[in-house]
Amino acid sequence: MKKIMIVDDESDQIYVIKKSLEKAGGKYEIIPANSGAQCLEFLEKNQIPDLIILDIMMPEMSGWIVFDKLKGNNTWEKIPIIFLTARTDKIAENAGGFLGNDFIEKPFDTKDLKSRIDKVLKDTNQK
Amino acid sequence: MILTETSIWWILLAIFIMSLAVWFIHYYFRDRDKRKLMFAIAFLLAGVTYIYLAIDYRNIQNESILWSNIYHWSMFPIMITLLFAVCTSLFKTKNLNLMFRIFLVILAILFISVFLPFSIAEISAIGRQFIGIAVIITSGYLFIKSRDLSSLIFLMAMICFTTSGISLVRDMDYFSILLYLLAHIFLTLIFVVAPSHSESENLGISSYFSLTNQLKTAKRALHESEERYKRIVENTSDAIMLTQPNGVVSYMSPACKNVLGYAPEDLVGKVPNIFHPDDTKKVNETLSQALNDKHGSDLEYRIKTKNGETKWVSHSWSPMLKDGKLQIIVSSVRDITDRKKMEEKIAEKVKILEDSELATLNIMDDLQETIASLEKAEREIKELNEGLEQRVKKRTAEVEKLLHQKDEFVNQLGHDLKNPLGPLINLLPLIEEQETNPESKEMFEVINRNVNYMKNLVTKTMQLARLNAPSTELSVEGVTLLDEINKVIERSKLLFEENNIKVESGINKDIMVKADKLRLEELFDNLIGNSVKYSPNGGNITIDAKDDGKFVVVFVKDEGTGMTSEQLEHIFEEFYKADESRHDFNSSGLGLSICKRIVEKHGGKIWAESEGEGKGTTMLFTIPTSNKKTSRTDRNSKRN
Repeated sequence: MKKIMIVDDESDQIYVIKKSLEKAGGKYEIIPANSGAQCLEFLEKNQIPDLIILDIMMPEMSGWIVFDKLKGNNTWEKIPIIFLTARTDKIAENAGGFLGNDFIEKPFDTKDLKSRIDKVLKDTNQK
Repeated sequence: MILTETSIWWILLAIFIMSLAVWFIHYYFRDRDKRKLMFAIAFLLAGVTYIYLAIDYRNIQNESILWSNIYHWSMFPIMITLLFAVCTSLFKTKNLNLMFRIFLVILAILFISVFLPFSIAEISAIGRQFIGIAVIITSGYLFIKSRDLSSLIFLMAMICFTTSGISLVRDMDYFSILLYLLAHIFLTLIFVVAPSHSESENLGISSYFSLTNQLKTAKRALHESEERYKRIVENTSDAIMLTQPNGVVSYMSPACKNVLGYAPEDLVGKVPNIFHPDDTKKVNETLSQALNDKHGSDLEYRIKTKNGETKWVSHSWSPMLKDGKLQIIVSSVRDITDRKKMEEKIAEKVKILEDSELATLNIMDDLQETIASLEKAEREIKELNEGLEQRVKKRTAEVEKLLHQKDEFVNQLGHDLKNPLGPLINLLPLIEEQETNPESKEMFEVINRNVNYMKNLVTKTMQLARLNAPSTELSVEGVTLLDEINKVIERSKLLFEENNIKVESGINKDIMVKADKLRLEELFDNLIGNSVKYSPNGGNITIDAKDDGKFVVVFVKDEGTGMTSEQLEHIFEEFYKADESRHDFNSSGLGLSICKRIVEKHGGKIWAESEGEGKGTTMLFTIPTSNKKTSRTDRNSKRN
């Protein structure tokens, strides 16, 4: 079962994504992380997910910082990342957009979310 | 004509006397002394008398009256001459020319008597005796008075004359000749003796004869005068120069050293070449031209002194002519270096002035140009400004229009958002109640929370939009501040209890403010809500107000997280949260923006103070003070 880490400071958002994916028939193991710091903590404890869904607007450590840290680590850089944000304009502002493997705009469509996740996972496997 | 044995002696006497006459004439031409001419004439005529006597005239006296008369006439002049001498001495007359003229007139008158048709022998004899006695008495007096040698000699001469006359009458010819000889010698001797010893003009007969003395006096006077002139010439600060027609300097006054920088001996006997090379030509031309025309003139030129210094001099000269021929040139040379320097300085100053005048004119031109270009620039700027003003006006109008559109849009959006929120807010709790599945209940909870958050957001957004709209007016009235605060505190009691927060209000109940009641409540709601949000559990919130006359300053102080100075700057901006990414269901990020708009609408201002993170925050705002009277007028005016 694929492991997906969802990094979002709002527990409600993690809950909604988790429930949505379950109802859409997705068989994933969800690792919730309430902050960027927690995300990195899990990674250091070798809880390496197959995919990270990363919220950008988070207090203290924004999604961008987490992204930079991941890409600066030999082991973690290969983990595919899907940005999750309510403000797509911010994605465009930062490094021309596609820094991650994909991005999903809030509010999201459950089917769309699942198909994107599956696609990214599939692409990663092929590599 | 009868020659006697004495004739030869008479002739010798005549010759001697005439020789003396010639000697006198000689000295007359030398000294131009009329007395000598007088004596010469007298002596010559006396000679004539002796010639008469030589031819023994006494014995032929009846031959001719004319002859006789001439003889008697010829004896007179010597007597007159002697009379003049004593008279002059007596009266101290010095006008020799006048005396001489009188002498000639008397002589001429007497000569006319020669031609009278009768013999003048008797008259002549009486006259001569009379004059003789007078002269003897006078000369005796003069001798007694002066006791000088010349007076004595004169007296002796007179005695000789008289005695010889008497001797002649007595036919004592030899004795007579001797006495005549002595008399003449004495008379001549006086001219030699008198001047040598008579220093005083008061002294006897010598005052008449002392010509040498007079000459001496004249010489002394001349010498003194010369000395005076010399002193003047030598002491004048100008150099006085005498130059011969060939250009050789014959005299140079001592001032030459100061004026020309040369000692007189450097120049005397030479043709001076001391002119400045640049002026030599000019000086030579002017000088030679002036000398050819034989007139004086003056010239200013430069010279080179002995030690090479350049000096300015003013040279004025006048030629001395004799019979139209140039004798000598008298020059006066003055040092005018200082004057010239002054003149140069003045000229320099004048030039500077002229230049500066010119410069001033140039500056004036430049200034005028500058002014012209400035005026042009000003016109352009004015035009530009007018354009700019118009553009700004236009742009402002555009912006105002856009802002208005935005407010309209937000209002519309808020309204439109509120509609779909209605069923969600009202119906969701009903479904949640019916649901028994715990998983569904959990989902409902999440949904409810988020729907409420959204409702809050929409409400606040609409409040702000309303406040931003220029058309929104406040309903201002006199409000008791404490009442309004208490209302809000009362309403928020539950919130305080939940968070275990203690609220203290120290507001004086007399404080009145000019405010819109509803907005004021909204303001306190937001501020107190904010304080609660950031206060720790069990914290204190202190509310106080201070009336400073015109405004009331209100404080809402918490013991919460505090703020950094950067946060303090931004907290009143829309959608700003102390922590940008903080997702808080109770915070819309609009509360303080709303507070700001409310305070500003009332004419006050709002700010926050904090000593730093963790040290609590104080929100402060001012609001106009009111008393009930003014508040009523305000309200009335609003309604009108």
